[in-house]
Amino acid sequence: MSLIRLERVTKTYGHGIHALNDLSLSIEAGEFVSIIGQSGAGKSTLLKLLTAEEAPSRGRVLIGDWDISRIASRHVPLLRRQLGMIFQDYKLLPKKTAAENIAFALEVIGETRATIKHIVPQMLHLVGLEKKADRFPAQLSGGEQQRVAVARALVHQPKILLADEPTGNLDTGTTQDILDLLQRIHSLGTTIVLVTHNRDVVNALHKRVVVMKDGKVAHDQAQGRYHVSL
Amino acid sequence: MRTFLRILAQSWQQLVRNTWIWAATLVVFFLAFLSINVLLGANVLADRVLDEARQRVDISISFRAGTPPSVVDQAKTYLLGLPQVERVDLVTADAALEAFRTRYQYQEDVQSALNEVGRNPLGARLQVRARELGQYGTIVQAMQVPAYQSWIQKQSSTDHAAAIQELEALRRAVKLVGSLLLLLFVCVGMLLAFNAVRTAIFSQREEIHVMRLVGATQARIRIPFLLSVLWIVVLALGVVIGIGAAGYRWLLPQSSGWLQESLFAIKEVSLRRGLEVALIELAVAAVLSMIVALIATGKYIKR
Repeated sequence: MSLIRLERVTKTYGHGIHALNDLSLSIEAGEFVSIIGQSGAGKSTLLKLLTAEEAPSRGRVLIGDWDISRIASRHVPLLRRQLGMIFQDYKLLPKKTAAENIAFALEVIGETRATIKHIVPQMLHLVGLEKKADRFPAQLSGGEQQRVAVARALVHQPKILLADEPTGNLDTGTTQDILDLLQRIHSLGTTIVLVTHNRDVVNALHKRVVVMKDGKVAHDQAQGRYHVSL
Repeated sequence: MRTFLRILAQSWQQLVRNTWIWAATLVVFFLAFLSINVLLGANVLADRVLDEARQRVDISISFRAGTPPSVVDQAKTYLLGLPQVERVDLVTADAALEAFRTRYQYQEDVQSALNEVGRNPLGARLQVRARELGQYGTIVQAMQVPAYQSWIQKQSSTDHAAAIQELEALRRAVKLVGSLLLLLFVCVGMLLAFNAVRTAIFSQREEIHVMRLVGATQARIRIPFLLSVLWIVVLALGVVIGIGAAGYRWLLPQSSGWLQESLFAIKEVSLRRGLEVALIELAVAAVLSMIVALIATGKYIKR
């Protein structure tokens, strides 16, 4: 069974604008999928449907066998604890240190102090920031901030990591570091959905590439590359 | 428990982060509590003044000299049978004479005149107190019966009733104005609380976004905002109680007469019912502000 399945999903906003148009897509457990496409192709809407920020106008969105198309508000937190999310702008809390940012994700779901003390150093070690635990985001480089964001996203040991342009603000060297980190996380069994514009990122990965255009899947290649024509 | 403590700490942090808007809310809540408590204090004093005034109102029925005591006793029994009558005190002719002599003991001409008359020129007297102010007219009418009319020399009433009724009207007016003022403060307080929550949500949108991102429940996200409002309610009430207590301590040594008696009266009522009143005020304010905060968080915090 696919871990993520979108069945003939349409998302229409006001004035009849179709962000997604009868889109169907399956992602198996353990896959690393890059989703690419131009602005307005529907990539962000796709991520919003997966995180239940938006509901589809038609069709079904399934995570495992859980249909989240019409998910009740009270179940959304449960869904999000099974997903990790990272963003281009990191979304770290500026007044918290790296360790506190990671701990915050555990605090708000009611984890014990002992669990937090146990997990946070592990996560910092995983992303190679154990020596910068007490630094504030402003005291970290872009790549380091994204590492903290990755650590925070993984703190619940999610099955799926959704990455929305995670290297958008990073230079080439740092981008490669983040890709290496994502690949290491993938090798530990996490399914990764990467939304990006960056041709070099896609080409470096040699993983499945889904190209979106006008709210539909235009190409879907098992080991794709980012062609200029796309 | 640990989650509650985290939420409590977060709610306090929100007050610190948006100090000015919460301070403005605190001031209006303070004014609302102050006005209601001043109103309650004024009510206690007004009750006391009115009670004292009521105690001084009665009708005096003076019988002619030589009226048989049996007639006076009958009249007393008759009056006590009226539902409007609370109390009847009998002053016998001898007691009236004794009181008269005592009152004018230093006026020799009065004393010698009494001695010259050689008999008691005063009759017995009945002091009648009604249950309510408006009932004196009925009692006076009830005494217009031939059996007693010929024996009665005069009926007089101490005319505090009109003043009392004016005082009551004034109290009703003060109560109305005070209530309207309180309502105004409550409305402004609720609007400010709503705005404070809205501002807090806006200033913490990043934190809220992260909380949603990592799977915090709606309750976990919203409760700190509700508690922030509750902090304000508790603080405002605490300040009012503190100022009230400090004001009492400061004023008491400097006061005398009516003011001192009033302070004692307020203290006595506060000791007896203060906790109950404070809890009711706290509960009402907490419920109202929670409702407002719930509306604000529902409106501005999306899933």
